[in-house]
Amino acid sequence: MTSRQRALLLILVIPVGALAPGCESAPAAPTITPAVFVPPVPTLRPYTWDTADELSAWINGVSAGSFAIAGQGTDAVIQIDMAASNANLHGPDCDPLVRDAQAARVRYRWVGRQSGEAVDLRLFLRPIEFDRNATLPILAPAGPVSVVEEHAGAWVERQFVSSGSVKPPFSVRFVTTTITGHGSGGLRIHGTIEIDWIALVR
Amino acid sequence: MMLTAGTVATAAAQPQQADADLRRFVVGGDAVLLMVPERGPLALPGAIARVNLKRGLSVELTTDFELGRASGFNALYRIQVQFSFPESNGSPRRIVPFLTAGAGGFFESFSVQASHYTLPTGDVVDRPVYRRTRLSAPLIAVLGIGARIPIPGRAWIEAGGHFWYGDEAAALSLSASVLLPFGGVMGKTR
Repeated sequence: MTSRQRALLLILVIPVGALAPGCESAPAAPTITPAVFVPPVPTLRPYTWDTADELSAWINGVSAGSFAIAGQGTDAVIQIDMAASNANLHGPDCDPLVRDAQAARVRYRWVGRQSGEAVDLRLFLRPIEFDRNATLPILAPAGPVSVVEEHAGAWVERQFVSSGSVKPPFSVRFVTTTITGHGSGGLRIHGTIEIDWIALVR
Repeated sequence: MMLTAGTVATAAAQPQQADADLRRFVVGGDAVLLMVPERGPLALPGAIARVNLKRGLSVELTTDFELGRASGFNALYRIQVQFSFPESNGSPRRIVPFLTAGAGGFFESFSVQASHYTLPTGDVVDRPVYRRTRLSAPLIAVLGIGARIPIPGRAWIEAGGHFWYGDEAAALSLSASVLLPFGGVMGKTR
């Protein structure tokens, strides 16, 4: 191969090397109007909302649904009337803010379920600062998930992990929990979801 | 099989066409019919840029575009080496068979509409319109086979087939190209 041929080959090889990692343009930076923030509440265990006072911080003017606190101390639960509507529980700010969350755990039960009905729990970790993509980590039950106990009305304790391409650790200012019912024929479901506690896992 | 067919079809090429075969650079347009399993066939027009390193050995970049998308385009690219066999027993062939080997990927550029939505956390996101451009790494192996024939006016017509194989999918494509050589004439080998 002559020197001229080698030069021509280089001219073509260099662009191939440049292509090797691939590349992507950044999306336009969004303008974000922040959510209403709920003041933090002291907790007995870090980033665990368990007692009546701690769970009461989730029952605020920002949360949506039909719910109430029942019980005292660590026996308290958030009762959500699923026959009335789905729910979106907006948690208080973490104090201090979390920078290394890995997952979340929730203990709950479903009382009064009828055949053919299902619920879907999701947790959303609101970052301290949004990135350019406005990425919001979504946590779903870690599989494999058996719903036998849930459908029988027994207490279940589930780990919730990132269900998307976004991987931990996560920075977290606050957590929201959505509880969505799925009835047959699009009808509202029956019964009450009782949440005993919600915890962030670091 | 196609190599054999090319050999059988050997005929003396005209001197003007033989010169065209030896030009340093080649550009052209092509049409590709891409067949991906579980999807319909896709017709992609495109362009080719080739550099002849020596007679029978060239490198080329091809790009083929999926049109009909108002907001932008998707495209496939191939960077490949072409080995052609312009002679048989010292005589020039009229129909020249070739083999190709290289790597492919895709690129896209399209306009993303402005959006306004509320996250489950209550945050409201307003994103202005922007252009998204993406270029993948050339991680799809592409092997091909085909033949070319000179046509009047120093141009060539090439027809070929390619097999694409990557992590996520495999595909076949058929292509037809019109190519125009230009630039200096390389040292003749005959």
